[in-house]
Amino acid sequence: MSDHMNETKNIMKKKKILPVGHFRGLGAWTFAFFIYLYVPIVVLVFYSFNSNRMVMNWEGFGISWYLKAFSNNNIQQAVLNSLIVATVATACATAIATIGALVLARGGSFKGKTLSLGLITLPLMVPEIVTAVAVLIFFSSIGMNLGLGNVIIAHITFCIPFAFMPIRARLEGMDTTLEQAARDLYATEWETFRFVTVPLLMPGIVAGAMLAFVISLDDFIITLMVGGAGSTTLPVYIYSMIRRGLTPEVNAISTVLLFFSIAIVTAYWIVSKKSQTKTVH
Amino acid sequence: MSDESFISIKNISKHFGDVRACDDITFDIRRGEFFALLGPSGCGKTTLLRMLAGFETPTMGEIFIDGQPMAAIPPYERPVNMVFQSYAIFPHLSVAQNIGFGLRKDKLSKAEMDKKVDEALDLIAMAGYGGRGADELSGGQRQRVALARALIKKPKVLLLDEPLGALDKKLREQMQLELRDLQREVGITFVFVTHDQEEALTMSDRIAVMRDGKALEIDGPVDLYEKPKTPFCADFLGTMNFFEGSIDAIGGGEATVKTTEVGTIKSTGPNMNFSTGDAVSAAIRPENMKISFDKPTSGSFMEGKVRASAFLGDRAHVYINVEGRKDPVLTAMQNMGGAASRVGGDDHTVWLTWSDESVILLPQE
Repeated sequence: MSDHMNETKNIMKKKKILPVGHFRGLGAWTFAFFIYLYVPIVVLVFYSFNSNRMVMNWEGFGISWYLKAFSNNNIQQAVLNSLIVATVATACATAIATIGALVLARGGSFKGKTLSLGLITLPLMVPEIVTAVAVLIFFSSIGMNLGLGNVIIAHITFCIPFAFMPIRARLEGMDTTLEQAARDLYATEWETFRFVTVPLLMPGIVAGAMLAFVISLDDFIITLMVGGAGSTTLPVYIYSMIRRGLTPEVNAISTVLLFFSIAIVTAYWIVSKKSQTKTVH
Repeated sequence: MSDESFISIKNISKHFGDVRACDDITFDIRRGEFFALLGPSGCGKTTLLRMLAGFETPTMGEIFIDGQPMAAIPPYERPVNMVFQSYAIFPHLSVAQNIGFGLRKDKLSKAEMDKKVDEALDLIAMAGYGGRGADELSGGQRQRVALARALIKKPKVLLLDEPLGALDKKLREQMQLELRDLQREVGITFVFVTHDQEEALTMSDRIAVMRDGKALEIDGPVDLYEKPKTPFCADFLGTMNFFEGSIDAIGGGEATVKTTEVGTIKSTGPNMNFSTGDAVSAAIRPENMKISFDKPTSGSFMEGKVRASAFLGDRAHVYINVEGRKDPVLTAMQNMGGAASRVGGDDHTVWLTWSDESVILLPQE
């Protein structure tokens, strides 16, 4: 009965949505906004196909800068480092975030729950430069020097809250009676977790992992501080390239990075779409 | 253990902090019975059901099912299955996978599993729906799938939490009968929770009326309705006109109540175990009070004026103001041959008549 009333309430709420479509000039504003957002990126991609040496001087179409970038050993190494760091950091951060989210959403009430929640999401608010300096000082004071390992450890710390948020959101939105139903149907706690909780949580875990992956791949400040020689990641390498002079090679490698990120997001979108249709059929 | 006390609830209490959701409840449920836990929200009925399922641990007391104490047994080892209010259909599994979920541990071959699932689908008249997903089902179908899923292991007890609450009225009435038939067909003890008195009356063999964590009365639907022992039960099941007063004379299956508002009322109904002077209510069901347009010459009656009438199609509720009484008296009449339209407008003088048998004596709260 009360469910029914909530439903009607929701429907009524939906009807009251602001009729933004009627605002005059909204289309033009929206258009301007998207130009503002995307023109720099379009320009970047455009000039990556320039065959001229000068970045802003269009001479003709060519993919020579891509070939150059791909055959650059330093770039290859930086890409490899970036992928290693992002993959390991994402795996660890997602695992930790999942456990944390499970405890906070399903662990009932315990002392320090609110504090834990605050502490796990706090890194989102801490200025990155502060984290970077803190991690750098910490590593040097304990004399830890694992090369890429240092970078990975640093990345895990700031990836956890990003992975945590979507997982927790998913858990909070999950109907706990589904888990009770599983236990009622002769599934032990572990089986319930394995066959009901995890499959239902999966979209949250994938979303969290993707977010963590992209954040790690993209990180510059912390990596620059923590990473020593030999543990240069792609963003750090691109920065050093720019300092040596802007060539379309930078555009080319940035474009590759851009489309790689878009590919990840698209892949996630397709996967989540598929899992939706799977439950429908 | 016997069939009489197939489920035995002994001095069960459940406290949530300071709240006593269940407060020293004791009663038995018979084998093969369709049993209802009926009460307003917050009366502890769902808590009691969840203790039977094993999702809540009693603060005090013990539950036995088929002679076996349940205290140490987790939900996944209890011989009970539950149909949840929200149905809790697994959204990531197909209908067949949902129904077969409880069979995973039985180490059946795929063919045996499919056969059992198909039988269950037949039982709920949904053959051929096995491959569908949860999102493709209507409310009524979801409910059937939840039922099939809970019945496939042939549990000793099926627990149902507001099983029809999410369905619309027409479907609810249809499902009441279907559930009843299904219960007879499978012969499993059904215990269901509802706040809907009509649902409880329609489906159950016996009803426990609950309030404030206590089971007030346990009886069959007809007896509960016609011979309630508490004012709460009389009021919660159906509606009731209460005339408060005290016993003027009692004996020989007959009593006169001196009411504070409408003079004396005679009763030859149930509950004669009062003594002279006891504070009681003389209670009369609306359908037992008939409207007469002429002053009756014999029997019990009182005069009143029509205050308002509510036309309900098959019947009408007519509210009558009686002099000296604060609340109007409610009468229910069948709208046979358009009788409801002849009650007339407001302030029309009528007489209410009833038989003394239909006057139920109840203690005052």
